[in-house]
Amino acid sequence: MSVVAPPDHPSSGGGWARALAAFARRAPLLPVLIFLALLMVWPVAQLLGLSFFNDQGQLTWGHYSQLFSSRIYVEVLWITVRLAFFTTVVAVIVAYPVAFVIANSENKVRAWLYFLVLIPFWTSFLVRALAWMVLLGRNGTINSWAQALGLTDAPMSLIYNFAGVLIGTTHALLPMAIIIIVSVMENIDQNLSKAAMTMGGGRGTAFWRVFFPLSLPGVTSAALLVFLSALGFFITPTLLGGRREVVISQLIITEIQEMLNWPFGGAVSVLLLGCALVIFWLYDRLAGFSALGAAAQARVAAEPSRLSRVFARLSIALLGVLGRITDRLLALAGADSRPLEDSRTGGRSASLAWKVAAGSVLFFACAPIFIMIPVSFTQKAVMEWPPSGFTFEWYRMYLQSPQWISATVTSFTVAFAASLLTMALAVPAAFVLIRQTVVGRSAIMALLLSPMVVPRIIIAIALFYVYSGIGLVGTTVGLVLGHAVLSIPYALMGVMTVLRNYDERLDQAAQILGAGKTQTFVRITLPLIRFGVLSAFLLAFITSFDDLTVSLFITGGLSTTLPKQMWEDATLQVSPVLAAVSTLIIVFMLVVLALLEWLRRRGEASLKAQAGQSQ
Amino acid sequence: MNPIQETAGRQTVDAARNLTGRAVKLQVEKLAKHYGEFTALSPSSLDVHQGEFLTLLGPSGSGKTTLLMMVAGLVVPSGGEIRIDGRVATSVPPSKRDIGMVFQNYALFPHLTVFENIAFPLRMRRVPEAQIRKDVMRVLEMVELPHVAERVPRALSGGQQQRIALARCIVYAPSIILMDEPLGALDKRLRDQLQIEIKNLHKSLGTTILYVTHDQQETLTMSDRICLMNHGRIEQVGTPTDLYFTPKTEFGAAFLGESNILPIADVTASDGGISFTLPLDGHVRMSAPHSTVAPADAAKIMLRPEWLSVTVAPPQEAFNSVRGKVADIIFTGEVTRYFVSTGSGTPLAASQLTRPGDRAINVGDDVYISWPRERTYVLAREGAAA
Repeated sequence: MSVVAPPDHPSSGGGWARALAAFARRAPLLPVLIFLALLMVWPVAQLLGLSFFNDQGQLTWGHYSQLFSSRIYVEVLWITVRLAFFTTVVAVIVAYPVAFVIANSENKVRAWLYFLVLIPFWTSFLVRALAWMVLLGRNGTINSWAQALGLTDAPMSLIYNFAGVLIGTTHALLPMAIIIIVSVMENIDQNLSKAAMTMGGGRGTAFWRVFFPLSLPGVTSAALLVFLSALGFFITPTLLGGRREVVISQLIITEIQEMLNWPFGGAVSVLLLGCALVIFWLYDRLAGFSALGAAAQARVAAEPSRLSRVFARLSIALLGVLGRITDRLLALAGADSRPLEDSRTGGRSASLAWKVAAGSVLFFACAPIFIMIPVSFTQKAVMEWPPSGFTFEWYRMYLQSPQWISATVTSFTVAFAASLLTMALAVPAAFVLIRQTVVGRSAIMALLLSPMVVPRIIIAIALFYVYSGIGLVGTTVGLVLGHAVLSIPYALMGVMTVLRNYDERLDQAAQILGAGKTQTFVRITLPLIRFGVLSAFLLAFITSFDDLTVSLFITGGLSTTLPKQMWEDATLQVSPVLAAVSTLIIVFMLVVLALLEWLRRRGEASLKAQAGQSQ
Repeated sequence: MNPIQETAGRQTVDAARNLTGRAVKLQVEKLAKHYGEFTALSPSSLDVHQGEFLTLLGPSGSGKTTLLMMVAGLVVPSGGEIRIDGRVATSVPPSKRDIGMVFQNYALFPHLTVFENIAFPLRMRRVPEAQIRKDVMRVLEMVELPHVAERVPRALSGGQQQRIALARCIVYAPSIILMDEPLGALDKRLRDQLQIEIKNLHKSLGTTILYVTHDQQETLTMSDRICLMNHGRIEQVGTPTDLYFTPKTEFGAAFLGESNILPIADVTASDGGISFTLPLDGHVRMSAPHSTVAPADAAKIMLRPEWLSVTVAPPQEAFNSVRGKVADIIFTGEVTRYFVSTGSGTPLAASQLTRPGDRAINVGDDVYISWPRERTYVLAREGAAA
């Protein structure tokens, strides 16, 4: 029976007092809502609004007719959507086996594999794009190895074309896809596949008819988020694409930074946001929003649309056929007689084929990052493969450059301040959202998570526009506020997860035993959730530390951050100093990740202690 | 009914009578809770006397935990009042109500040792350190676990954790103890043992206990009085024997203990009670001479399986009886259970003490099921004035 205090319906005397108390319990939600309304909703609305007015402030469709009259813009839109589409397809397909192996491994192995996914996930897009430049370049790693092995005579063009961009963006978004799919697969009852097999299904049938359909919500939400992210992407396309791979975000940047054409930039932003919304709508039709964020559980929409019912019937038939085929193949290979339960792994194990597939994908995800380390010690003046000689020259240059050092200091300061602010806003909100029923909860959640969904480039420009009116451009305060907007969803989800697993009866017990609200929080709640809160803080920290998009627009001079400094260097000249800085960032990330992992284990131990008791 | 049950029942009734003379410790008046459109508890009133062991019994969703949580101060009532020792406590925070609570999952603090868990309420009351040490060790002795003081809760077994939760609850001697299905997570043997321990604690401490469970056996074993709940309202409050022998509603008759509940027809008043026919077996007139239900309200009769005799020979005149065929016989040890299908196919359950060499009746035999007329318990139709 639920013990959470829900909204009270004042029925008798003292109704006002009760209503007031009910409001007071939900008041901690207000700061974060106001914050996002001011720094996210209002700026984006203004930016979008701009596109409907001309210089004289009259309503006009002019910017849009300009947008659609020129072939260039439509073509750019087409390139962007095509890139996003292929990225999504490739990323989801290669993510699936990795997620499958992770979800079906025993706990210790799973933790390590997951760690291997988190490394690329938290390494900045910029560092990873630079790594691909070294790998794919004319004198890059792959070309030099291919030539050494005699596979080709002349260097292949792997970069500055669609394939190069596709590899880069897929690599950029793959870890996210894996994480989302794993979160759904982990909640699929292992016994269901076994049950299917006891009822006469082969391994293949059990997978295709039971496991795969249950994992689909993960696949579709991964696809949605990858697509949306790819839509607003510009870092990888700019660094790895050729002249023909201009994407919509680059167009927005050019319009606003070089042409200062705000209304037109706004119109292009509307186009980008429109694309995102259409995708959302399609997703809702086909998969239903219940699947999103259902990381928690794979629920079937209460009233499936006709389209999704037809879709469902077709897919059941298809899955049946796939299952039969796989069963036959496994029988031919003699692999169908493997014992069901492996006592060592407690029945969790994936077959060799899965493991090989997952291993290669994980290698693809992790290895490129480390290519930067040897390059940073090269004696050549360009980032090239193979590195020759050994020198600390580039590290020395970094340490002696006031620009680099100031950027580093700014990055740390801003990230620290932004994550403190984020936590101050997100923690109280998470408590309300988990422990109280709130009217309009889904709308509130949508607002709180919107910085993750609205293309970041739009947030950045919108903030730039609003900031320029109030003198916040180029200030640390402006940057901290902007980064807090970006970090709120991550921190909020982190804290909410911890609180969801927290047994509220512990707080109730403390209160009955005589502890007041404050004492309960300090002596019971906080000690039990501190690891989770700390890791949410670190997530916020990395989000800010890693951000290029917002920094690109609202910093300048002394307030330049590390990613922005790297971006400027990367677009002008590609010096091994970048490799040195990248190496330092990678090492820093690894330290933070190791810390996060340690916190996660500690947190899990204290949650397990609670769970162990309720058995 | 056998004589042992009869005396045991009488003792409980006597105990309850003594209690009603005592002061009212906890008074719940028209307490209600709504969650939006959903009513978790309709306005309900209940008095709990000083030193009484009162059980809230009901299926899940009956409102028993909601009622308990409001008494604890953990759920804000939508209406009504709670009084403790005559003082209004409806809006007193849980920490100031002088209550203790034992949770189903024990709610021991996982980051504190057993000692610190038990010391927690004392520290909250700023008890001197030396006294804390003494009190904690005293209650640990009481629950026979003095050696686990420095362990953390997860290092203990379920039964041990439950004892520690009890110790933490009694260490500061709250005047009311609330228990929310405290034995629900334990296996049967441990549950039986702890039932007796809790009962003994109750006797030696003289505390008022409000206990929530859905286990009828537990309820009958432990309670002075039972408050039977269903669909967010109180169905009946009474001693275990009251509820067993004279349930007010069909729900009460079916929920507590086993029963045969049969619809009746053609009800007329006769010799101080009513007479009627059972549609399941022709139209033989039967009577229920002690029934207090008005003929117009009489809808069904309740027969406990152990009131019924199964015989091959026709019973005496003073008995109501039904003919049927034995469908199944189950031997459960001290009791043998007979399932007899009647003319219309409605099955009746009867149980009789097993006697050695009891082989007279076999599956397929035609038998009489009979019971003394005055045992016929008539249930009023729903909504009829009680």
